[in-house]
Amino acid sequence: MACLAARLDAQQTITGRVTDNGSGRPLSGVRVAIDDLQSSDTTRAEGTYRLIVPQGRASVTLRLTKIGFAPVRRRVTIPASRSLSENFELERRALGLDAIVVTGSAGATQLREVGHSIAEIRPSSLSEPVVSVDHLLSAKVPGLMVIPSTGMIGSGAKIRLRGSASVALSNQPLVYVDGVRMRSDGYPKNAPFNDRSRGPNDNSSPLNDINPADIDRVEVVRGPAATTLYGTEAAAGVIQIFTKRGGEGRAVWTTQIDAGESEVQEFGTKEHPYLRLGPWLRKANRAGYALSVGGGGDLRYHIATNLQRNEGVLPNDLEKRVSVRGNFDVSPASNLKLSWSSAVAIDNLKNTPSGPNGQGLLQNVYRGPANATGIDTKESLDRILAWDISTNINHAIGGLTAVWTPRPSMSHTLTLGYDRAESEMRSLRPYGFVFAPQGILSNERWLATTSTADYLGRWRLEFGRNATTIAWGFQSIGTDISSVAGYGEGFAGPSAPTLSSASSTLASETRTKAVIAGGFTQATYDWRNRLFLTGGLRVDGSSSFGSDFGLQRFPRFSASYVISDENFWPAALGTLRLRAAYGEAGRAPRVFDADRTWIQAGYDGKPAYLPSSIGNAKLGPERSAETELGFDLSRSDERLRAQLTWYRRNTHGALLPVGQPPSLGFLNPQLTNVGSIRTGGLELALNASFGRAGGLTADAGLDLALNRTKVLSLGGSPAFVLTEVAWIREGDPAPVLIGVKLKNPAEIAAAVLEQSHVFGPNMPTRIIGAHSELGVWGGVRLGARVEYQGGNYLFDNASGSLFRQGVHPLCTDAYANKAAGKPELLNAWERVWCNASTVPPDGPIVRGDFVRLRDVSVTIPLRGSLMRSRNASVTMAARNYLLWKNSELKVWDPEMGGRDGMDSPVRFIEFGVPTAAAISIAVRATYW
Amino acid sequence: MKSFGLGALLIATITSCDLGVSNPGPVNDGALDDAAANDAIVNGMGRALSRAVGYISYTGGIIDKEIVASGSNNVSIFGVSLKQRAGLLDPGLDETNDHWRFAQQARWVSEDGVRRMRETLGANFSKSPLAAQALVHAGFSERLLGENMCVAVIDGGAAEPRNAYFSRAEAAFTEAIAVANAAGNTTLERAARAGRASVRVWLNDWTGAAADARLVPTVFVYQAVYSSLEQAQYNRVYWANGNQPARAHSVVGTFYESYYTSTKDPRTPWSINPAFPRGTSGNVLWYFQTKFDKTSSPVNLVSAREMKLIIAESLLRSGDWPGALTEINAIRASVGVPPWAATNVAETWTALGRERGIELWLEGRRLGDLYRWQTGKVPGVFDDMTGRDMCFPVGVSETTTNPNL
Repeated sequence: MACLAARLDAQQTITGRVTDNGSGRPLSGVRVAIDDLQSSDTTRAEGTYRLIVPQGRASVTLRLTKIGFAPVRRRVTIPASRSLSENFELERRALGLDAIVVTGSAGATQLREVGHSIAEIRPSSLSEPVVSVDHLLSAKVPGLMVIPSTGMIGSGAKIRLRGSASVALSNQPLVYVDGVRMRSDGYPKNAPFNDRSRGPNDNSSPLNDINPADIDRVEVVRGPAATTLYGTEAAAGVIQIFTKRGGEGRAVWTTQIDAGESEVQEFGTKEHPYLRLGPWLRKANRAGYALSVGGGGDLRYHIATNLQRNEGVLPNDLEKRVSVRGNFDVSPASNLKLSWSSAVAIDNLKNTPSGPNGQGLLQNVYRGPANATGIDTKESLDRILAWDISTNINHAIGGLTAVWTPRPSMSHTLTLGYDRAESEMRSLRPYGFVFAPQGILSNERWLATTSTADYLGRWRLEFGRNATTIAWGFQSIGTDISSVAGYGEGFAGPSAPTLSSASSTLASETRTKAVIAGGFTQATYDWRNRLFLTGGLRVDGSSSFGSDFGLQRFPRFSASYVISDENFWPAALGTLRLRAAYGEAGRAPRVFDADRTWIQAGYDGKPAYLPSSIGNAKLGPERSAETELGFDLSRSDERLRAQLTWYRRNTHGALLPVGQPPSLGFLNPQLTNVGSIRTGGLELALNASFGRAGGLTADAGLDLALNRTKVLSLGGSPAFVLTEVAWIREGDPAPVLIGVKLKNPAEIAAAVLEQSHVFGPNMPTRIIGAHSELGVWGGVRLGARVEYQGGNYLFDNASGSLFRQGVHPLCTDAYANKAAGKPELLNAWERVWCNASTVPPDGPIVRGDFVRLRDVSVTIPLRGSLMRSRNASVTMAARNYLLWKNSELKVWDPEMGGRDGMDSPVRFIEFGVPTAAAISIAVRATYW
Repeated sequence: MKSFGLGALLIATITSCDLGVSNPGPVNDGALDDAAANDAIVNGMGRALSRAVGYISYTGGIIDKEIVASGSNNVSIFGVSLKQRAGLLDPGLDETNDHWRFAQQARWVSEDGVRRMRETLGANFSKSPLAAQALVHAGFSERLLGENMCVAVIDGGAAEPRNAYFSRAEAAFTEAIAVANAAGNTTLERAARAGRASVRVWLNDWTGAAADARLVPTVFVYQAVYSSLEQAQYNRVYWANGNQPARAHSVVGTFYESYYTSTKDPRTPWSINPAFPRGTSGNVLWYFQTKFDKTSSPVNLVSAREMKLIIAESLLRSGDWPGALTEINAIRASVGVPPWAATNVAETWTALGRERGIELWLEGRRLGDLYRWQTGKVPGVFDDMTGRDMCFPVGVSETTTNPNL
């Protein structure tokens, strides 16, 4: 202890404050680093920072970086008092090549060194208040697509980076929070294990357990060219979330109160604007309370809590959510920094039985006279609401990162983390329930844990103006998923039952563990701080590989050339960086996929074996190799910035579910590395700042993402159906929709049908996003964000069901004409779809193009005295209020889906409720 | 360099770590090569057979007019496709595929189990009641395929005439009789003998069929077992009408609707529910069968009454139509319904056809009978199957994966 005290006494400190040179406001989130000491701090809300300098260093160079501001480098001398106060003003600049990025690189790296494309989202730079991580990611980054499923409470979105990466495996990207792997696949549906359609038919997302107010920034890398260092599981991309950390100084308190209301916009016909669902829809209220505090001395802290009560638009939907975060940083020695990050979220959900569920509310309401209760009245259908569906989610994530810098040129970073996502799903159809008079109860306890051990070493060797950085590391990711479920039916009476009350019960237990471990090495050659050449190799092993498979190797190469730093480059042309990257990554098969297995099942209460998987000893991960070429261009004043990236990804040994001859006994398809799929596209991000004129500022941006997939080979396997009309076929997108096409829809004549018409891709191939922000007098800011998606087709399975039942509101006139004996008045469209007995099973398939106004907001700063605070603002916002959809999609919402979960490469329109439009008001204040 | 060495040490540690993970649940194939696994192997055969019988009974009943559809045409929820309603079986439809898949799995599981048990039991196989049970499952699985599938495919091989199934079934039943005898298991011996009688009908061995049938006692019945423990083990014909919420098929308009109304024959019962007068399609009256009245209702695989009908058909084929009619009407008397009247061979064939339909109603046997009589060009009037399929095609799950097809 005496030694430690002596060492602390010997330390020198640099403190100061960083402000915006335009507004004079303090800037938080500025990284202040000492160039050669691997020592850094991040400014807190009041803009302050504190750095410790080892004894003996009389002067150091400070480097300040923050996305959106020009970097500053300043040499300072430390006085004899060993304490220096140094303030900075940063100038706004939207893109800086000296910005620090982490994801996809071997540790914190200047953007100029990185050959792959990387995108960053900062909630503090957004106009609109962010309500969830799904919302934060939506329409912000070209190539990042957030696909909502339904408007139910607790509904999580699919996230796709550059489209779907796999036909058979999860397409959710990997998600890291402060360096710790978090589960990114959805929570299971709340439904009995023996009948998965009997519930809300939607999945919650662990991402939404993160309080968006806790997020400092998000880095997104979109494909194998960038994700090689993450190895076997990273082909679908990586999203890394960095949460806020406390800055040194007195405590800064931030409070936010928000309230809002959401409602479903019309999605039906004139007569049935909500397709019969209107009487069950409500205006749903939302309220949230957030409090955070950050500060500290040697021990810095950021502690935050958030309470939310969210009603859903469906009658039984209600969410109560509590989250708490505690982030702590301490430097026990000048060359050692410890960071602890932890968060807990508790989410209690009540849901309405929905989706394609014969006992659910939505399917029966939409079916009107053909509903399964047999009586088409609200009273009869309200009986379904007796079904009590409750889900209790507990999600905890914690991690410790230690950075040891034994010498300025070398660092070691060790991260240990643990993610624990738990859900209790209880579903009670009570005694007297309309479809199960004696009652049914199911309860499932599901737990997924992910353990992270990650070591990274870096060593920088300088040779004059050139340098080489060598990095090496290893990662071990262990996942353990278990579920214990019970099912009981037949209760003696209407009192509240437990599973033990049932006259017959069933139980289920599943447990799967998997371990992936690997190491990597990488070297970057730095030529005069303008040309960077990187080569690296990752080697992985996995418990889910086949016994004959062994280790996997994933190479990467990249180059980044800041050509505008050359003397010959005319300054008038601004800054230009050229980049190129090639990398490989994989997607690991699941536990048991390699083994020839049988399942243990019952046969009238006796044990029985049944064949499960035929097995494949040569099973390995699918490997994706991606090439990226692009440039970053900005005018010298940074007011016009462009990033363009072209990419091509070839997936070899794609894992495809290859069917087995049933006469050989095993009915499940066997995952086999046989396919070859190519994905290509272009991503463009344009941002412009129109400067300040007469107190006005204006910023605007345009994002464009083009993405196409093509199945090059199925390795001799025949084309196969993923679900209904979604096929995997050689020469077509993956998946492609194939079904019946009506060639003369408007004609008053017999229908001309083309069977097995190849419509096109199921996932959008063109996404355009536009956003703008206008600053007016008094610091008032107006923002808007709009998005177009298109180039794809959707299977309207919900309409297909209503057509087959003869109850589709689109056919009201046709049904009447037929009943009146005037079938000759029907046009071809009506003759196909309004004749229940002949409705084709493989339709309708419609274009998916739409434009949606995602966000509109206005933020008004409040005088500090009004709230007795230093900073305060009120923000009013509206989400999803306007939708323009193509004429083929006559009803529903193009973003409805949800049946197949988050992993699926397919999106269909299913019975559900569209994402609601919402208005909100939030008041935010900061105190210190 | 000390630091670099530490990193190297860590890499070495991780790369040498054991990636072998033991997961409970699924069982590796090798674990079944153990005599201790035989009970569960044989039970698995039973479960697979029951499932296959359930699927074929349900859809086959639509095709051959034992029931009609009154629910959805979405085949994934007990619905009946438009083609199936028209009597057509599409090899590409999932539901049709499942018939092929489940029936083939039942056959393969049984025969693979018999193979394993020969190895694990050694000399004891020939006197093991478990072995006899496995052979009986194998025989009935082969018979199910033979009576319903258009062609035979064995273990990924080439297509063969469907009689290949019956030949394998006869061999399995013959060995089962011997093993059951040696094991002293009378029930299995009778089940195998009755099963062999029913497949010898298809092999045109009427002498052998009648001889076996006569050795089966008059009250014997052997059934496929179902269970209320989980939906996957439910009696599918019952559950498709369980009103939870499917009300997927109805007796309305079939022969059995009016027949039961007039005779109250306990073998073809049906009922109505005033609270749900129509099926879930909304346009078909819901007259639901009650032969299977709970999720665990068993389905006959063979019975003494079927044996009598085999004897009757044997007599009829030999020209003894009065003797055949006597056998048929003895059955009817035993269940308390009036006798059929017939004055010649053709009318007796009509009566036999109708009686087998009643006796074997919704047991997955009718489609094969109609096919057998139609291709055998026997006299008599049977259900009109004009334009309707008379057997299940090879599923696309087989045609697209089996290189020998």
